[in-house]
Amino acid sequence: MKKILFGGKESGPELGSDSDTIVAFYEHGRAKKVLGLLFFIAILVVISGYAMGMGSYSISLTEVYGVIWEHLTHMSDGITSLDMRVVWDARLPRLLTALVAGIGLAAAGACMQSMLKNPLADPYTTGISSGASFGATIAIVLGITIGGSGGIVVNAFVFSLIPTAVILLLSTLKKSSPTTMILAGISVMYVFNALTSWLMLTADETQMAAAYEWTIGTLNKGSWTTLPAMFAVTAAGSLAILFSTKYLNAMNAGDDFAKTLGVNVNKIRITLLGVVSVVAAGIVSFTGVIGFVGLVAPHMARILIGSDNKLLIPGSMICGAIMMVGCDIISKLFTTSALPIGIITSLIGGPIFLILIMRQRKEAW
Amino acid sequence: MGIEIEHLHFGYSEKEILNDISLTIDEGKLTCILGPNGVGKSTLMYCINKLQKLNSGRISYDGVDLATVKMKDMAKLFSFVPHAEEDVFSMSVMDTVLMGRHPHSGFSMTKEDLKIAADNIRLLGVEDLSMRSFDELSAGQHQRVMIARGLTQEPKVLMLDEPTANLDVKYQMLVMKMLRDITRLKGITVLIICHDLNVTSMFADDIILLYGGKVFAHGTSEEVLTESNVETVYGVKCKVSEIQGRPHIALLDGDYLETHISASSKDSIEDALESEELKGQSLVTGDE
Repeated sequence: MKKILFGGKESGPELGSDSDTIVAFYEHGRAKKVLGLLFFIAILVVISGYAMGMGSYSISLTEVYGVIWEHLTHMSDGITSLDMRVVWDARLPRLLTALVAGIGLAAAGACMQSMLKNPLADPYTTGISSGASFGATIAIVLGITIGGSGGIVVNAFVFSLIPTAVILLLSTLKKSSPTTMILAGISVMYVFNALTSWLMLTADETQMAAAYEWTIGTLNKGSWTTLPAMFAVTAAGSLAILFSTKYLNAMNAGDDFAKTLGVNVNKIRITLLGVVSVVAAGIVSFTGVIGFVGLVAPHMARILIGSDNKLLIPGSMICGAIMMVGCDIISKLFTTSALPIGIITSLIGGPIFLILIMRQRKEAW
Repeated sequence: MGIEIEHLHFGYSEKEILNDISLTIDEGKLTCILGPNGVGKSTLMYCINKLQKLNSGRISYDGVDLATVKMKDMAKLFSFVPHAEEDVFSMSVMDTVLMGRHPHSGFSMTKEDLKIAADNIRLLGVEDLSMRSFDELSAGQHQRVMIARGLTQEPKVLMLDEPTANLDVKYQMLVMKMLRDITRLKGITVLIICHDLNVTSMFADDIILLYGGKVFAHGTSEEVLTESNVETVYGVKCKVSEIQGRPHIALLDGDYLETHISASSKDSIEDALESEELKGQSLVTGDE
């Protein structure tokens, strides 16, 4: 029997069982998966507190949440103003940036994999990262910006949507299969990568360092100013994806079959591609390109709770958030100056993913 | 009333696949569509469930033109069991069967939805597999789960694209018997694309034999499965006898090569037939 860590049952109803028994087994399995998700939310809360307490000025887990509680309720309980400044002003925005990025990229990745029926699909498969990198590099190297004061962020956002626009245009001109969409995204990605490399060759050292830092992703730019926009895009997009899980399940069984269930496959796929692109673009334009989370977090969730999108999407969001916060902790633990998160997510995420694949008795996909 | 097809034409650009098809598929019967490869059996089924748009003609169900029915409403009338499942990420058997509730349910499944799915899992005898992952099942189990999913849709018409393909003889018989029992038990119309003439003869109430883009014969197995019909449509000689009150087709080796295979291919196939391995075997079905 396939190993799913939560809710995977070594036994099921016996042959000849009545319908109520089958339903009871099913509901019991679902309840175990939901409990598994709650357990991971608890882990997320603990590691988030730990991450905020870490640093040259160390604060305990209880003090961290005490500061946040005090700030929210204005019930002073011996919290020093220094604790308040460190937690609320410096570390909480960074943590929330990690959480929002992890949730958004993982939700987008899970949606892409189900929608395009490809385990290698992630938000960047459609060329979003390369578009964003090119937009940011134009701003950094040439100083050309679309959004005036928004500078790099607006450039990155606008350019990251271009590959998706190309795919959508292709889909309207010619009936596109999921594979065609991925291949179109990859071809646009190569064009943008080539243009970015060309620009980098003309850049001076400072510009090149800035552009390079942007392409590997960092949480350092997260602040109370950038969070509202990032949060709004991610929340709206994630909700849209969550409400589409019923359609994603049907599409997973094949386009023709989904159509016979009454699903407008092309419309749903194009709409979700737009949603996923905006979510990923909204995140990478503030953090830079954070790789691997959108690809790996959904697979981790799949191993934990199975492939039903109704649980997989929330599970992926939690796994994405844990991955981001965990990588942030590791970057602070093992390096004197926190390394860009994009390096850690790939460095740590890759081997963990390999271990999970090897531990599977049978593949989860 | 059932499904009524009037002057159906379908084709891609210059190539016409279905040419002026007119027939009625009776309600509450198990109807099989037969015909050689590429004759348009699947296309006919896809035209009925609106996966293909007709070039011209009309298909109606209980007098209602299906062209005017939205896919969402179609899904409450017709369910489709594809030839093979394409899912990349496999779900549990229960979740797979529950997908059949899609046209009837909201965002989440109700107790009633779960009960209907469980009832159909029991009906198809896969209750012991209900918590297993779909991709762990054998071909025969797959087929039963997909039929359970089709029935969970609570359709008036259940359509199956080659449900017995890739199954051994025992499972072919099992699946067809189940489908016949379901037709009787639930009173729904079951429409099946099939290749095995004897399995079809044994279980079908009604047979549609397609040839050259047209309905070559339509009726009971005795009316359709005659020696001359089989020879004309499939290009093979056969001997039809009667077993358990139904026609039984025994295919004969030899002359069919003349009509359907080019001279060069014929030589190579004849050489192969001469070889020790193939000598004396039928190329067409498992009839021995």
